Amino acid sequence: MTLMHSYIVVITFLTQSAPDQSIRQFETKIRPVLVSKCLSCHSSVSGKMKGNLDLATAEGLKRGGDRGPSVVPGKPEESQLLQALRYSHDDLKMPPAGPLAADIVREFEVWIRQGAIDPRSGSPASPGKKPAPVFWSITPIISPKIPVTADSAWPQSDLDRFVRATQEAAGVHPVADARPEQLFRRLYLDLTGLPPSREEVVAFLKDPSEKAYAATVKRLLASPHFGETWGRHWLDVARFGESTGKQVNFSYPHAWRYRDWVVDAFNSDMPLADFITRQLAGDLLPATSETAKDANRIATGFLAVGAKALNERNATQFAMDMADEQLDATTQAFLGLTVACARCHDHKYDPVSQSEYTAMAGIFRSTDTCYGTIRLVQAQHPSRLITLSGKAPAGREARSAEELKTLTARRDRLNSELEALRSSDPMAAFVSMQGVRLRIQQGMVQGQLELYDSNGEPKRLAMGAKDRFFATDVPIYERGEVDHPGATVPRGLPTQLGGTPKAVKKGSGRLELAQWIATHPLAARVAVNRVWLHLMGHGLVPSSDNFGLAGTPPRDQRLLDWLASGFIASGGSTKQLIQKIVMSRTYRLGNETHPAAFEKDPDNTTWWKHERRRLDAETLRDSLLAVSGRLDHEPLQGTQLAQANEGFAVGPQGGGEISSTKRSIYLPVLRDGIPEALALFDGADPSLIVPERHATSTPAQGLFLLNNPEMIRSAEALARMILDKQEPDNERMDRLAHIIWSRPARPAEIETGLAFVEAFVKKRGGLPARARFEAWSALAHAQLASADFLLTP
Amino acid sequence: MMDRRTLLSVAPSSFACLAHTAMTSGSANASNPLSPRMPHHPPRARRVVFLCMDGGPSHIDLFDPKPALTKANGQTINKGRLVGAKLLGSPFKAHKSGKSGLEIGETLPELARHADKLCLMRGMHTDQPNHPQAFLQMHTGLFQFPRPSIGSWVLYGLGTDNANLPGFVSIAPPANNGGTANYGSCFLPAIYQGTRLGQAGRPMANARMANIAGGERRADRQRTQLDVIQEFNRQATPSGPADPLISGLMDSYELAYRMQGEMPPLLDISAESASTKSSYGLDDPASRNFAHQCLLARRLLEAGVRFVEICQPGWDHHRGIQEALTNSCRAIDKPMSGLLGDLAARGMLEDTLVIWSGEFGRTPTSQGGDGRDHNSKGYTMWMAGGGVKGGHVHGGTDELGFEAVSGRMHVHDWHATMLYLLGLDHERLTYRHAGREMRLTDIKGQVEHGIVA
Repeated sequence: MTLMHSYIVVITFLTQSAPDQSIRQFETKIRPVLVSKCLSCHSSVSGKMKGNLDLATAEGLKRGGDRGPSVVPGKPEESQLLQALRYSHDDLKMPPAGPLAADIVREFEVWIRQGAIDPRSGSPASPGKKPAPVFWSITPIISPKIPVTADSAWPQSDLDRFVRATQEAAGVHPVADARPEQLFRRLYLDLTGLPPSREEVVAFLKDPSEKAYAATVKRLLASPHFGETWGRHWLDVARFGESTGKQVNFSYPHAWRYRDWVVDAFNSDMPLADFITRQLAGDLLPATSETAKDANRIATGFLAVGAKALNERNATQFAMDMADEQLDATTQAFLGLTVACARCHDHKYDPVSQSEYTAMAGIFRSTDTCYGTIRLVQAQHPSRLITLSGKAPAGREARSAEELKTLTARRDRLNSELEALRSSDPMAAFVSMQGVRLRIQQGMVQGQLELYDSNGEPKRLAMGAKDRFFATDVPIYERGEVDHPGATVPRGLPTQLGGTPKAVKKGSGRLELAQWIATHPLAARVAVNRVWLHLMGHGLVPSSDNFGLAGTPPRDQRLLDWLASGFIASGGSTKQLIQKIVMSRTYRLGNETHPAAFEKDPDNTTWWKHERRRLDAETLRDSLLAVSGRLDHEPLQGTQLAQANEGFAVGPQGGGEISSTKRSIYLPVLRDGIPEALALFDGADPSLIVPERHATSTPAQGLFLLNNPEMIRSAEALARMILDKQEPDNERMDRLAHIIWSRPARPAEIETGLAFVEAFVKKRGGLPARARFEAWSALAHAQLASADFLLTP
Repeated sequence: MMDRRTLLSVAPSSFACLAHTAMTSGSANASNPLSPRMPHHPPRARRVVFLCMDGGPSHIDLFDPKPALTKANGQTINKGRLVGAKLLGSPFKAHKSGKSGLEIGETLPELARHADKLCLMRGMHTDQPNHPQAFLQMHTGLFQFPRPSIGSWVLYGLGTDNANLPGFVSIAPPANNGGTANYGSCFLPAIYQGTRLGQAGRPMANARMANIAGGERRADRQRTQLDVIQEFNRQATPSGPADPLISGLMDSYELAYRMQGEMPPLLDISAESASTKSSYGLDDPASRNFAHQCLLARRLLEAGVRFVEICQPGWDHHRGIQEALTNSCRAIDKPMSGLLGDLAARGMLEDTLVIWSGEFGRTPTSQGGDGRDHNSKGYTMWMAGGGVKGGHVHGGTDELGFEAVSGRMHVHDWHATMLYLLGLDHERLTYRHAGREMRLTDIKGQVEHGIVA
């Protein structure tokens, strides 16, 4: 989230209007109590409506039950609900288990006195029939007219006209354009996640023309590093992880195929509709070749890579949790909505009822999720994987016949030891240290063997989804608890969320769901907003994680919809959208703060300057490796997951150090164990759906930047690099600036740097060559730790 | 007026924003998201040390003696999943201790001397009898979804008294059972995450904090180098109103530098007197490691750290409980006693909340004849110090120790009560994430006023 957003949050709360406060009061004080204390007996949804009282809807609450109205707005003393809570009448004491705490009862009193505002929708005993309020985000996208601006000189594109029009309305002027070196570095970091090389900087600064800039944009969009950077943005949203996380962290040794599919999808500029349908239902799509079929099936890995509680003992619970996780990821990632709230109750803000949730959950329950893992101590739910064609890359080395033989023999030996233990003491085989150890060893060896065919060739396996043979409908679970099933709901799509839902006739309904989402106006709006966010620092819709009623309305819906309709017209081309934005003058503004503009719009909501940001965790690490010449630019095939077999995902505690010099997207993504270098700089938690990262500034980061061996290795590599060249020290300093900051050194910086080197050498003494090396390392280190390296220009 | 929730609702990266607000309003304090904050109501405790017992210690053998169980030793019972299980009377005696006469198992003689400081909560229960779920729930409130840890919530709510130190330190946490999630900040900004010191199963004497410069030569040079960094940062700052991003970065360096100066001497316990060390049990190999942790905890708390967790593994006594429990207790008894005594002697106990708990308790029935299985339905935890009744028993289990029957407290209730003692209202300590206001206690939790002094 951004600076702007937080300001907005603060301001929103400061100026909160009365109805908002009442809704808040209801949502925070009243509703939780109703849900936890009342609805189990008085709810049309749960099926029990004792005394004909339905407290699950606003209307039901006011209408009351057999005893008459339960609440009289404004009159607590006449409200039976309050009397019941107060335990003041012998024949009306609720909840029956005992009176609620006095302060809770007081909250009810206050709430009733203030009018008993209840924002819930739905009619009593017939939930979900009322038409949903029409909310901006689910309305069809209509391309607005290009505004005419009073200032006709500044805008260079239609996008600029929208921005300038908003600025004019706010009485704000844009700052000067970015300097060529700023723009060049910004473009590289944004599009490829890597800084330009010194040579590229020098060449551009010789010819910083419009033509050269446009050519650079084209070149970077075509770079394989584009997909690695924008693919990583998507992996944040797709909660990509290479292990189950949760209680017994087992590895997903095949998850990398999905990662690579995402990178390829961005590099090939896959249309948004295809990007969505393939991830949700690629297995159900026709394919023209084996390779295309493989790719479509790998795409469904989206549904399989989520966190899982393998030690859950209740099979129904496990299945419902997985369906819920898939539904949650699907709706948040593609639609920017938190539909999963409706698992336990009708959605508090958005038009999704619990029965609509259940209808969608049925789609996922009818899906066979293939994620692998093995049955082992505390892991109860192994699944099949998807077998790809022989054309798929192996991703791991073959095993020799000899190795296979040894492994097989080892497994057989462990099997017989375990068997012997079982026959002598069945209890010990289960609980004793020896029994547990044997079972783990046996399982881990078996987990390795399962990755190879009988010739030692790695099997081509992938995570993903396919339809179950029999589709299943799911009951509504009261409060989401699997031991409280209610009426069964046929699988289907939500009807009140807009778009064009289709009836599910046969199969799981996953394809219908995918097509509904892919053509839903939210899909394009959410996608466009994320692209804008990554390029401009904050979203056109500030709550990039929530396009529902609880989110924040767009800053400029015309611009959002104009971009979205252009995006749809282009066939959902992310590259064209990015090109449109980076070619605008708005993107190319400088980052200086203009006092007059700051006065009027301190949060830069009208984009009068470019928003600086700290490099995200991956860009920071990759840049560090790149500038010091240590980055291995080649993609990694497969995974470096410490334990790349089935079974326990072994990682260093607390993330630990990284041995690879590949780009960060290829580092193992162990749940609850992401590398320190990424975790410290707000890298995405793979168990969460993260449309927008934090950007904190902490002393722990300071310590990392000052002392971590990675920083020192990079600094020393830089020192070696520049000392190898015979040139005067001021040119050395300038060379360092080009490499690290992508710009020439300023005279003041040269002065500061050279004075530091001189003082350092004098103080250290000893061998002059060694002293100079250390001095230049320390200087390079200081440059790497400075704002112009760590922040986008 | 801006209420605290509003102030705290500041989402990610709004530190920069807050920093900016602070600069313009002239208040230096708010520029640091870790600055001490006003609680919701007057606090009874200002800091927490959580002694976490990984594995599920037996309440029956330690804090909740069951004469009826001893009498029924060996009898077969059928209860729930326990069909044909045999009851196992405690092989240990419990002694009435202190003026309060609190009954404490004979394996904890040193702790028993502090009986009048302890508040035994015998009616604890949690959702699941599995280590990973229960351990995570104890630390984050939920096991179903990722959530911030208790230490992170406390730090978020109160800030820290010493900005030169991390505000939340987790000493020797286990790598399993949720791993980093047990001290992680999850969706709270990273500044609230726990700083790990040492690793479970490794000697504390070798524990270091990550990324603290080693060697005096480096430390000596670092200031000069830092000056150059800051000079570059100043030169990078464009004219006009100060750039909060750059000033935030510069501040984080100064903080880091001061932290680097303060942490190593703080972690060096050699300056403690021989009698202090001995009172913690540092000279006994059996208790040395936990003693080191306890002593470190006191030093950190004294220096202004808000929340310290220390962890002792090995309480999963499925077999041979008589010997195993004796050994486990020996490792912690003296250190705990040393810590309580030391805190009291320094006048810190009255506003330090000391918490001792495992993730659940154990069954009154036997496993393998001489061990006990997991029991989530009833167990004991204790608290001492800041605002809790000393020499007090709250709640209890049935006569055999299966299930909490009176003064029942769920983990959520304990969390709510802990926050209450710290001056925080668990319903108002919220953070907006994924479209709603999140709480440590989710939608549950009730403050147990019965244990508040």
